[in-house]
Amino acid sequence: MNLKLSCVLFLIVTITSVALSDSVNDAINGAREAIVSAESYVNVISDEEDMNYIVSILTVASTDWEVALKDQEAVQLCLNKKEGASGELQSDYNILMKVSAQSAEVHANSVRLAAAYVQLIAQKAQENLLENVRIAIKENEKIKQLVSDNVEYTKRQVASKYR
Amino acid sequence: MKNKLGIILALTVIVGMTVSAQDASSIKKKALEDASAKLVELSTFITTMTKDLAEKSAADPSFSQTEEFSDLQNRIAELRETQNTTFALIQTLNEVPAEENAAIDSIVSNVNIAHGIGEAIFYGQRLNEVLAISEEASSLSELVEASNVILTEGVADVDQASDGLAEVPNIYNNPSQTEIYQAVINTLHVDFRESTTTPDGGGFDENDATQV
Repeated sequence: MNLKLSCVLFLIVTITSVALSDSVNDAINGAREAIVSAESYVNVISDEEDMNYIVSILTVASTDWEVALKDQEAVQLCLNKKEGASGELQSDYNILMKVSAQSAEVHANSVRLAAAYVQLIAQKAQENLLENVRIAIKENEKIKQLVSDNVEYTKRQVASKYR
Repeated sequence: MKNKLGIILALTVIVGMTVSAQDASSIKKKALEDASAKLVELSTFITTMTKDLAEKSAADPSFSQTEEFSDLQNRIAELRETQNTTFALIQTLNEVPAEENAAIDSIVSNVNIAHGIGEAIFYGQRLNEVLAISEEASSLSELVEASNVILTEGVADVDQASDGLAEVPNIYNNPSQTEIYQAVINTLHVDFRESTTTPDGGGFDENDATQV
């Protein structure tokens, strides 16, 4: 019975891990496509004020992209390492993988949000819609900080167990 | 909300240093960590939904005229409300003395309910739909109010309010707080207002939107 239960739990953990990794990869691929798309729209924008704002959000998006890629690597690393691990160590890799995946997705989504804004400006979208996206971009800054703090805290907590 | 989690997590360390009972401290620390993880998850849901709204609007200029757009926009607002509720519950949880296990359990339960509501909103339901079928809460503010009663008057008072049987030991008459604690809470309060207070009021049903 215990063996069966262990197998079921192992299966659930494996499926969850793969799903986590897949959703991160989807977010990263989506962000990659969004960056390419945004580049083509930037050339259409002529308004200086719009352009100044776009430069600022794309500068932030560039950093977000780097963070997303690093976190994606961390997810993959945890996925690989936990395969050979057992018990508490495996559980800790799962925890690290989850928070890294959250950070990767949030940062990738921020890139996509910035790219969508560029497209909306190029399409001369309604001001209230643009304003909503600007608010979302601003709010995302706080959420990025939140998930990054969570990653750092979790890393420290896990690391302290193995010192 | 800048550095919100950092502050909350720093508070868990303060809790760890200031309480004498090690077990009680670790239970509260774990509760704060779990609650913070739920806040993080709700926040990641918001980024996904706002990204979807922007991308769909960019892909189809007529999307903003659709019902799907309004629904998504409303659900984002409701998810933010749920996020604010969760944060308020974390603040309350943080104020509970570490040895009050029953109070901690009750607030954790409310955090779980708020998180469940947020998750349902993320997966497509509206707040009123979730609350209509919920046996645990009829409004988000009710969760915060119940937790505040737990904080100020004790778990038993909540029990009495619901079944009229329990006695009412007021165990939190005068909770003493350290200066560090008060400073952190003040920062959280300012942070919260900056992040969520709208011109017509804020997330905790505030009617004064003046920045502190």
